[in-house]
Parts: sequence; C-alpha cells; structure tokens
Amino acid sequence: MSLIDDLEALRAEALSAFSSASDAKSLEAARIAFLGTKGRVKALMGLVGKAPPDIKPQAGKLANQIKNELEAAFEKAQSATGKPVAGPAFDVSEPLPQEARPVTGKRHPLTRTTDTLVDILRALGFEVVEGPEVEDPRHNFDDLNIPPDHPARDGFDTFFLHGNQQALLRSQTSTVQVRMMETRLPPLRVVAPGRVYRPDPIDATHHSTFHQVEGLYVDKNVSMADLKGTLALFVEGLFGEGTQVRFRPSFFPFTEPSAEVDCTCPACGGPGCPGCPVCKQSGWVELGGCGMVDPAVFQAINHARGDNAYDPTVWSGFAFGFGIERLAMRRHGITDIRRFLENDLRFLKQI
Amino acid sequence: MKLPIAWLMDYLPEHLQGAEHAAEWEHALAEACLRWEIEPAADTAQTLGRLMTFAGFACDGVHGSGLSAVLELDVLSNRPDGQCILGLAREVASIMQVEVKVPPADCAEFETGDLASKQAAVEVLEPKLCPRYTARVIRGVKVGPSPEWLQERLKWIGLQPRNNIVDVTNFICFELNQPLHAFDLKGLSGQKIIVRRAQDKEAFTPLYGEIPALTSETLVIADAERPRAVAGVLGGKGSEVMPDTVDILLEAAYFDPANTRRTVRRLKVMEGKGTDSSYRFERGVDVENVENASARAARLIVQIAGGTVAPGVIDVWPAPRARKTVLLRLTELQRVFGAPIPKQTTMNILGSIGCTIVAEGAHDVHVRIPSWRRGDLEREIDLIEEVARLHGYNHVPAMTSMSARVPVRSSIETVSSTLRTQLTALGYFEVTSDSLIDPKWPNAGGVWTNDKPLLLDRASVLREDHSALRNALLPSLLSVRAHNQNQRTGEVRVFEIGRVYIAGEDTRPDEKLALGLLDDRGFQALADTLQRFTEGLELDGAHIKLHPVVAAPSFLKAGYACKILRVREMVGDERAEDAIGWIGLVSTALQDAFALRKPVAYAELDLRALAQLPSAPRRYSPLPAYPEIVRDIALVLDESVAWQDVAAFAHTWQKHEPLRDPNEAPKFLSVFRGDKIGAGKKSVAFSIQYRAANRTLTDDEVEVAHTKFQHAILEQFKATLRV
Repeated sequence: MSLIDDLEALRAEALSAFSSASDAKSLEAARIAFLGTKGRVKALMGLVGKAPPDIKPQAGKLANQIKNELEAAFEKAQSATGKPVAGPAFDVSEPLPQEARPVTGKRHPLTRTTDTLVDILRALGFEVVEGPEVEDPRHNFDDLNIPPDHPARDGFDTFFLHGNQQALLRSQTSTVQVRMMETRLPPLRVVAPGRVYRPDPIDATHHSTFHQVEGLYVDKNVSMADLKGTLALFVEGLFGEGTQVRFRPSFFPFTEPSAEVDCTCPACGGPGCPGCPVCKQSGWVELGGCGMVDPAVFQAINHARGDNAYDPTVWSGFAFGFGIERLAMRRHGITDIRRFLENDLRFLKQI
Repeated sequence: MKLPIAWLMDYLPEHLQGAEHAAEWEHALAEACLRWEIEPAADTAQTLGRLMTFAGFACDGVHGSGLSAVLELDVLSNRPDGQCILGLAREVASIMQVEVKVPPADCAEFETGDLASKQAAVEVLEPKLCPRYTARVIRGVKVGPSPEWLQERLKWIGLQPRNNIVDVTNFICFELNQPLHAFDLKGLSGQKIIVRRAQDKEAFTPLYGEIPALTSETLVIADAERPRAVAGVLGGKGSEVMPDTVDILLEAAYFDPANTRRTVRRLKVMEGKGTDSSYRFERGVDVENVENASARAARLIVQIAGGTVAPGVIDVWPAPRARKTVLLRLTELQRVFGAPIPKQTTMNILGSIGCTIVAEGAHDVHVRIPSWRRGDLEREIDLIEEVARLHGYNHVPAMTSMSARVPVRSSIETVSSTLRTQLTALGYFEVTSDSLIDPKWPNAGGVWTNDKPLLLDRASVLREDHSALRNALLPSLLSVRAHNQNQRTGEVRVFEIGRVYIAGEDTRPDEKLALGLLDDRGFQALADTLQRFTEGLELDGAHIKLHPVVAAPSFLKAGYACKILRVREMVGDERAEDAIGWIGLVSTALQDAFALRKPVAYAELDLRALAQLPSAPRRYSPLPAYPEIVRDIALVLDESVAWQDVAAFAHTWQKHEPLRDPNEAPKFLSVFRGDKIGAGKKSVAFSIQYRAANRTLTDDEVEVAHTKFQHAILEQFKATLRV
C-alpha cells in the first residue's frame, strides 16, 4: 500500500473510533491511540517526512489535512460525551496582580453631569462662558430686576464678604447673563455652568454651595415657542428621543413670563406608565426654571451699557437654569447631596 | 397658603355650592380640564389642585378629599392677591369660567351715634411708610366665643379661634388679604392714634415673644403717650381686646412693603419670618380695598358681637394713586407667546381676572387693571404673561427657529477637559471640594498669597466651618486626604480644578482657576505626572519645567520644593520662563495640622497661565526608513545637575548632529547612588539613538559621532564616564 492509501485508511479508522466511542474513557483511549504523542497519526507524519520527493508534497498536504480533520472530529465527539473542551490553561477572570494593574481615575460626577448638559447645549449652538462667583449687588440683584427689601429676594438670600457690602457670593448663575449682555452685542447664545452659594442649612437635600447651568438666548422674535422647542431638543438629547417637556407658570424676577419646566420621566417613560419612584408616579420630573427675559432686565443692561443695544422692542430672549446636583442625584440615585463635596473615594469610585 | 374647598365655595356661584351640587362641581372641573388639556384626577380636590398648579399656584398637597379637602398652594411672591381665599376664588372662577361672588361689605345699617371723628383721632406723621390709615369706632360689643361657621373656617386654615373680635380680624385677613388690628378704645390714651417712628429704645411690650429695643427706624402705632403696636407687624400689651372690652377702634391700613420687611428682619419677629399680618404687608395689600375690608369686618363684628358702628370712617389717605391703564397689542402677545391668541379669547381672559377693557382697536386693547393687581400688572409684558398663563402654557407650541451655529471653545475649556482626560487616565480621581472653608484651618498661605483667607460677613454665616473663602486648593485637598484617611479608603491620588479667591486692590477678589494634585505615592510619582500630563495639550514651542528652590515656602518640605515654570521658546535659543505654581512634599507642620499619618506630595498651578501657552496640532514627520543604532551612556554627575538639564543638552546637541534624528529624545534609563559613586554624586544612565535618513549607519561612523557627544557632555557637566 502506498503512503497515501495508509493515510486514507488511518482517517477512516480514526473517524470511526471517535464516533463509536460511547463514553469519555473510550474516547480518550481513541485519542491517545490516534492523536497522542506516540499515536498513529504522529507515526505516519514521520513517515511522510521520509517519503520520496515525488509524493512528499501531496502526502504532506494530506497528512496535515487529516490531522486537522481528526482533531476536529475528536472535539466534536468530546463535546457530545459531555466533557468540556480544553480551554486556555489559565483562569480568564483572574485579574492582573495589583502592581501590574493600571489604575484609572474618574471625573467627578458633577463634572460628568455638567459635561453632558453642556455638550447637548453646545450642539444647539450655545457657547460656554463664565463669570465671577464673587459678585456685586448690581449683577446679582438690581440688574436682574430683584429690588432691595422685596419678598422676591426671599429665595435669594446671600453670603456677603466681611466688611464689604459690595461683594457677595452669587446666588444664581443668572449673573453671567448680565455680564454677557453688558460686554457683547446681540444676538447671544451662551451657557454658563458654575458654582453658586446660598445660606441654607446643610442637610441631605440642601447645601450652601451648589452648581447650576444657565442658558441665555437673545435674538429677534424669540418666543416661548422657541424656548419650549429648544428645551424639547435638550431633553431629547439628555434622556432620549420622545422625551417631552411641559411648562408650569412660575415667577422669577428676571423673566416674564416665567415657568417651571418638567419633562416626561426618563425612568418610566411618562404619563400612562404605571409610575415609578423616580417621578413618584406622576410621569413627570422637574428640570428647572425658565422664562422670557424680562424687558426690565434689558433696560437695566442698556442703562449699564449707556446705549440701547438691547432694545426690548427689537430683541427678545429666553433664559433657563437647571440645578446640576439635582440632576446628578437623579441620574445616579444619590440620596445625600453632601456626598458631592465630601469626596470620599469609595463614593467617587462607585459612581 | 391653605385653601379649604368648603370656604372657597362661599365665593363661587350657588349652582356649584354644597354637597347637593357635587355632580355639577365635578362636571365643571372636568370641562376646565378639557380646556386646559389636563387629565382629571379621581378626586375633585386633586383635580382642582392640578388646575391650580397649571395656573401658577402649585399645589403641594391635598389634605382630605372632595368638598372637605384643604389644598396646600404655593403662592408666588408676585401674587400678593393670592394670599387670601377670595383671591384664590378669583383664580378658580377664572379657570372655571364662572363669576366670583364678592361678600357684602357694607356696615351702614349698623351705624348710629356720634361721628367716628368725634370719638377718636388719627394722625399720620409718616405718610410714606403709611400711605393710608383708616379707623372705625365700634361701641358696645360683647366679647365671647365666635359662632361655629367662623371657628371652623379658622380651624381649616390652622388658626386657633380666640374670641369673636380677634377671630373676625383674622378671618378678614385671610378672606380679603387685609390684616386688621382691633384696639380696646379705653386702652388708647387720648383716644388717639399717631402713626410715627419710635424713639430709640422707647418702651414697648409685644403681645407675645420678645423683640430687640425699638429704634427710630421702626414705624409704630402710638396713642397720645406710647407705642401700642409695631405697624403692620405685631400688637402690644395694654391696648389689646380683653374679655371686658366694650368699645374698640378697628385699624385697617396700608403699610409700606419694603419698610415692613426691614422691620421684621431687624426685629427678628418670629425668627425673621414675621407674622400673618407682616407677611401680607410685605407683599403689598390692596390699598383701595382697605376701607372696604374695614366695613366688612365692622359688619361681621356687630352681627356676631353686637354693638353699633360710629358713622363715618376716619380715613387718612393723602395721596391716592390712580390706577394705570395698560395697552396690550396682539402682535406683541404673539411675539412672546409664539402663536396667535384670538382677540376675543384675550379679552375674555382679561375680563375673568377683573380687568376692564376701556378701549379696543382692531389689534389692541386698553386695559384698566383691578385694584388688587396693581402691584404686578403694570406693563404690557405683565398682561401678556396673564393671558399666556390663563390660556395655558400647554398651548405653547414647541418649535424653534434658531439658526445652526458652531460655538467656539475657549482655551480654558479645552485645557480643563484635556487635563481631566489625561489625569484620570493616569489614575487620578477628580474631586470637587467646597470653596467655603473653616477659617480655623491652618493657613496654607504662600501658594498664591500670604494673606489669610477672606471671611464672610458674620450676619450671613450659618456655620463657622463654612465661613471663609479658600485662597488655595491646598487646604481643601488636605482635608479630602484627611477624610479618606479616617474612612480608610486606601491610596489617594486626586486632582481638583477649582477657583481660589485672592484679595487684591479691587472690591472683588481675583478668582484664580487652580489645578491641585495630591498624590500619596510621593514626590517622584507626582513630578512624573507633571512632566507627562501636558502631553495632550499639544504645546507648541513651550513646556513645563520644575525648578528646585532652596528656600521652601512654609507649606512645603525643604529639599522637596520646586517652582513649576512655564517655558516659552522664543526666537533663536532664547526662552521666557515664569512660575505658575508649586510642587513638593507637604510640610510636616501642615501634615500634622491635618493629622495626616503619612507624607503626601502636592502640586498646585494656575490653570489660566497654562492655558495661555501656545498650542498647535502635532506635526507629522515621516517614519524612519533606516534602522537606528542605540548607544547607552552612564555619567557620574554632581547631585546638583538635574536630569532635565542633561536631557535638554542632549536634545540641543541632537539638532546639530547629522547622524541623529531630531525627533528622537534621549531615553532615561536609571539613576544610581551609593558608596561606589561617592557622596554628592550620582550615576545617570540613558540611551541615545543614531540614525541617518538615507542609509543604514555603520558602527564606525556612529562611534565617531558618539565619542564627540561624550566629550561634549562630559565637559558640559564636569562629569566622568561610569565604567
């Protein structure tokens, strides 16, 4: 018999042995007989190496083909008998030793939430701007149409600097609106993320230091429809397509009309759903405040600028503001606002 | 503000009132929901709560259900008229498109005897602080408990009934938003009311609680001798209605809102929150309704407690202001609302809140505002808001005509974002700490200033440990380190990008944007980070360099203190250097002050200064086509020679050596110190690569170039070769 015939015969014999093996033990015996280090396949491969040159290429090719075929057949037979296929010879879930493992840090959850909001607004054409945290009463109150000794100041209690009644810690990022309009000409489309301060007692849901994102858009013929349309795009960017917004009338000294803006609950999908703890079964969650820039603010700006650049009969605009902590808390299910400024590494690693 | 449905019903049309009309009530609510596009709730009180919410009176809760429920409404500070049941009834009537029933306020039928002005006198010395003051005299009352209907109404809103006279004044306060005060006429010396400023420390005993001494800033209601009440805020002892009171003087007035507010805050009445009365005066009551409310109160008092009313009312109102007529243009309404609202709808809405149309054109209306809205309806935009609000914000279409625009990114934004990416990749966690710090913390001065941190005004501070503004990130980050030590959270490697506040010449401090880094692993690890973290910034012709200083600032440990320099390459080999921060090991004193058990490495730098450095996208240079030949070299150097200087020399050399690729920097291998080298010396090993752009180099030619380089560097640093 020629070497080629021997190879063919070996193939038939081995395939039959693998397929007829009834249990793991007999299969293993067949494997050793054919594919083992002293098995018949190896022996025949040795003969191929010594074969005459005229048949060597053909025999070599066939031998390799048969070897692969038999290995495949063995694995198939083995999985049929229930024995696991031999995997990698180590535990794939085993981590690298501590010293070899690279550590990766994380951005703070407030940064991540801010970045998310800002990225969406940037896509809507809003430019990121900043303003000082230590402000004067004119920017924090007067030019925002918050008169002294008025109940409207109730929500805007403020820290003043010692011995300096002209310096206070801004109580809202709306101050940046004023600064932008003072220094730039309309149209304007800006967003100001930043830190604000109010002398509120610190507890699980209040802090005297917190963060807001404020948006301002001034152009010709800006209406509440633009405001609603912009916020509708914004919430779709934030929570996904189909998220809707609604307005509830409200009051802010620097906008008129003013509204609280809600969006359909990102957790349960909004009204009609059975409800969930996130929206307390109302289908809606609060986002923040918004409104049309009060003409009195434009007039105060013009007065400060000494011109009529923001003529309220020509220009109109809207503003909106969101509390970053509240959004981040809802996003991550955080129940204590104090965690943000405490910087416990277990918290920062977990979130 | 509490709104009991049963009380509300007093002012709604009869066909909606009472249990027998519950079905009509429910039907009317359902119709309103349809118009407002609001889903009705299972319970009518909840449904009304929803409607009120969407009319701008957010319903925070409903106690009970149906007709016996009490709604908890959040009344906005621009709506003083909503601080009373009649005011809320007007809103409900407007929402439900029905007429509101105004309660009777005429007491003429009970008038008899001498004119009021013959029995008492009123003198207003401060007409600015008290623009209107009215007094009625009621004689022969019998003080006793109030009837059931009155008691239950007060209880619904959480008030304790006292006696019929006081109860009526409280009732009117909540029915008509007009606080009243009833004086016992015999307790008023000279039967005289003088509205004046108090004298400094003038004697006065409030009816309840304690207040600081009066000053000339306090407006008081005095009799001929002494103050009897703090105007609009609280009454005093000695003139209050007692069980044996027979004759009363009933005060109804308008006090200046701002002054009332200042008084409440200065006297810390009810911890600065004020009384039901001051709360209303602060927001502004209806100046035109003052006398009317007094008449209604007099009528109720006589009906309940008997007696007679002296004819005529004493009414000191020297300068009534006429109400405004405001123009509303429909084009302007549409410009703000974003969709047309028909003229008839607009006029119906305005009519439903008590506005009178005095004239109308094809596209505009002239509107006379009701007296109870004169505070907040003064301009066209105010009317637009009213029409928009009551037409319903649900009818605002969501669409925008904003043009597309690609906003620029500031260098600060770019740099902050890049550094966050880079530092987190290097294993640092970002922290965000409070800018308000404890002034008792050891002063980490010296980072940016040696001054102490700015303090907040004591009057505004709630917590001592949050009463100063940090002037460096250092104390914040040490406090973060301390917290994590106490919580045993493991190794700390953190950074913060935050503002610090440096007092200067200006009214407001300079707000630096600082980057702080704290690293448990020690100085070398942090220094290595600083050398690498600018990688993503793509600095162009600029770099960061550490410059050891002999005299360490107080917050750093001597021998481990470096200035961080920013280096800008100028024309030729010129450089401009300036310090933008510090790196080092935190001083032992500071480490102890924060009770840190282990030393920590720390760096803080000025982010804006970093962001000013020129940057440009990295340039591509073709990858080498021929292999390199590497030569290692080990130099024995004085300790004073820094690696960065050696590297800089090698780099410069490279520029003039044709066999070296200018893109390949020398590679640091190791440093060795020890007896074999000798004290004050170190051995530094590094490798350099030789390569030609157009051929494979031979060992021989590299040997020539390398020998030349060795000579040069040995001479430059007075070094020897380590063999």
